[in-house]
Amino acid sequence: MIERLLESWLTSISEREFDIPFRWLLEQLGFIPFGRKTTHGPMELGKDVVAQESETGLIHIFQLKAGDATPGDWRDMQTQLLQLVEVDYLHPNYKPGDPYKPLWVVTGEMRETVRTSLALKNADYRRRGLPEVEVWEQNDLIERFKKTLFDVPVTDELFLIDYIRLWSRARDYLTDEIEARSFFRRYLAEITPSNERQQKKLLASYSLIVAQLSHRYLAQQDIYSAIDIVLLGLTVLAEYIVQSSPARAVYSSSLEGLNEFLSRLLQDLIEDCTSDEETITDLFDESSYHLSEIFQLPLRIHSLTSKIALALVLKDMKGGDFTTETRLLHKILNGNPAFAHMVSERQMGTFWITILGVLKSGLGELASALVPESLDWLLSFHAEGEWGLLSPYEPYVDALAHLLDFTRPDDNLGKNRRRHSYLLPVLIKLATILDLRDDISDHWHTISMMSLAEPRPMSQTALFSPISEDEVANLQVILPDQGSWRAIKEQFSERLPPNLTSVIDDHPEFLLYLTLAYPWRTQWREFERYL
Amino acid sequence: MRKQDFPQITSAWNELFESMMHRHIKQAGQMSSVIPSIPLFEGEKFGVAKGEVPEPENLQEVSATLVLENQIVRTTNLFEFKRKLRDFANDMVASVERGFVSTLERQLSEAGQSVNFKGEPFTWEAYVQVLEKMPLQFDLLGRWVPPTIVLHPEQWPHVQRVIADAERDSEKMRQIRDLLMRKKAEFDDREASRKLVD
Repeated sequence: MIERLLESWLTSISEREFDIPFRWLLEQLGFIPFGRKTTHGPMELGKDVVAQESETGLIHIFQLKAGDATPGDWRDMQTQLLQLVEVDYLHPNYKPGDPYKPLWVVTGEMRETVRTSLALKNADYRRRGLPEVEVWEQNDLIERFKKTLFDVPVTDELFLIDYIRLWSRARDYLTDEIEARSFFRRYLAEITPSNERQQKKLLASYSLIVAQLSHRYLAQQDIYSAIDIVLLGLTVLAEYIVQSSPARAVYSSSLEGLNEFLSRLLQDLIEDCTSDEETITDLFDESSYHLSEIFQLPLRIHSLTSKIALALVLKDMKGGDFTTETRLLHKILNGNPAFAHMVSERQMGTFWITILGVLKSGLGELASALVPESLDWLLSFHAEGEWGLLSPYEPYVDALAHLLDFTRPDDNLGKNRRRHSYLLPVLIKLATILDLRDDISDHWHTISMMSLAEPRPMSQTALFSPISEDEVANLQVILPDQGSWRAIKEQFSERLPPNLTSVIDDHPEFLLYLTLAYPWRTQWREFERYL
Repeated sequence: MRKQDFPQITSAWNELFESMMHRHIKQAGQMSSVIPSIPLFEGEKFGVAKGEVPEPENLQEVSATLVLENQIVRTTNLFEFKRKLRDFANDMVASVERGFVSTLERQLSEAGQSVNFKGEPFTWEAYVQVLEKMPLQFDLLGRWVPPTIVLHPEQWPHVQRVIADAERDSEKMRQIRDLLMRKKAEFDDREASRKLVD
């Protein structure tokens, strides 16, 4: 079964998408790849990936090709072969003239005529004393992936069945979210690695699974789900790291690989946006003419802006330039009320990250417009006769019936969320940062009667684990001080206690992933960390 | 660039919209609310599955128009959206009831069971004429279970007046007693001749 899945996966991915999983494979095969980034295009000089075999020290130079190698590809291949075999590799750890092994990796099949042409080339290289080019085709890759990265789950047939079901049924992230979360968590929690080497292998295979699912969405032209599944995968990995405390050397390669994978996806999304700015200026989907568009539009805007904002914050952490992200955020959000008009408090995570991105971009004026508008909107659902917005713990689909209240009371009995909010503390926190005293003052009568809820985990493990609705009742509820702006500002300047933040201190990106993967875990207390 | 689509939301909406409309039609319809079930075609669903299509003459069109301005969606104006949906649901109720009445008229007329007042106001004589045409129902103690009268609310005071006048008229009371005795005998005959079938 896994062979079919690997075959289908290899057939669908591009050269660029294959790069990171191929590096994971090399590591498991006992290679040490040089660098974490691959240069595709004219600068690659026929050397997509270079790795050193640990045992022999021999340098291996890989040229990757997605899809089949057909006679039509041979002209380009000849150029690449020339560069692969005859142009020296330049690296401080490699001396020109030292032995090396060139390899041609094809995710599809090599056609017979190409095979023959390559055999003739190899005969020529042999005559000239140059190394011959070895070929890894799809079948070889399937065998290698299976033997190295899938020998862990393969020992448990049920895991394999679950994974193949998840992969084959993948539709879109919102539909698949619960099943994917359950699978990822079980995968990491139930397999007990006997030693560090085994643990490293487990994490590498986990990363590959996450990447494969992401590729599955990409094959369906759904970059949004492709990003969301990686965010979920990284959040579950963060939970594993917090819970199992593996040595950094054990998880760093998988974590860095997934981080890099996410950055590339985000960059692809940014490039998509810049190539079609007309579309992002108006995210209303007229083509569908479906009544559910009124619920989809706010989700669509939040999903896109939060991903752009995440890209921006991650770039900023690395000292990168985020001018493009700033421009895109302004273009989407300026004068767009659907962003502030949320349909569920579950949007608090995407809201938090987006406003963070807006503030980091220096678009304080825009933030000062969006936050009060969101506050007005939220509190309009807490007026007399209204039932509030659904809590972040409740799925989006439940929000539809809740908002269309003319089905009450039968359907929504017990779902009255009036005067209870998880989103409001986030808004008050942002209001204190933006110094929106008057907006809070205008709504003080309603706010002072609200019970403000926030997730207050007792440990880092609890912080990174999704929790059930039953546990919500145990969460600490805070109440704002009565009538003093200074006291409110002071109260909302509180941070999470240090025992909850050591992993975030080491990996600040974890909290960003958590906020998007589990929005009910949004921590207003750590907003300043990223400003 | 492809705009993100949320199939789960679309599918949840389709289900919700269908059930909301059915419920609203059941609850808000003055006539339909007293009828245990009005099937909007087989299985109470909007739409017909392949192979299920009945004869076209047995179908009755139920329709209403929902005009939703883009601006309502663009601004997520849920309050206005709800108002539009309510108006639409009320139009559906009216359409269902119009269809119900016209079907009833056609079928009763074909069966020779209709009484046409020809635009004249409701009278005691017309009422007796209607009762004559109907197989009347009686409870276990033999008491008459009067049929439900479905009429426009504006006519109700007039009907009440006609019935109240008749209750003070001994001749009209005798007439109804005779009619009920006859109908009770017919009812008893029908009950007595029930047969157990396979």
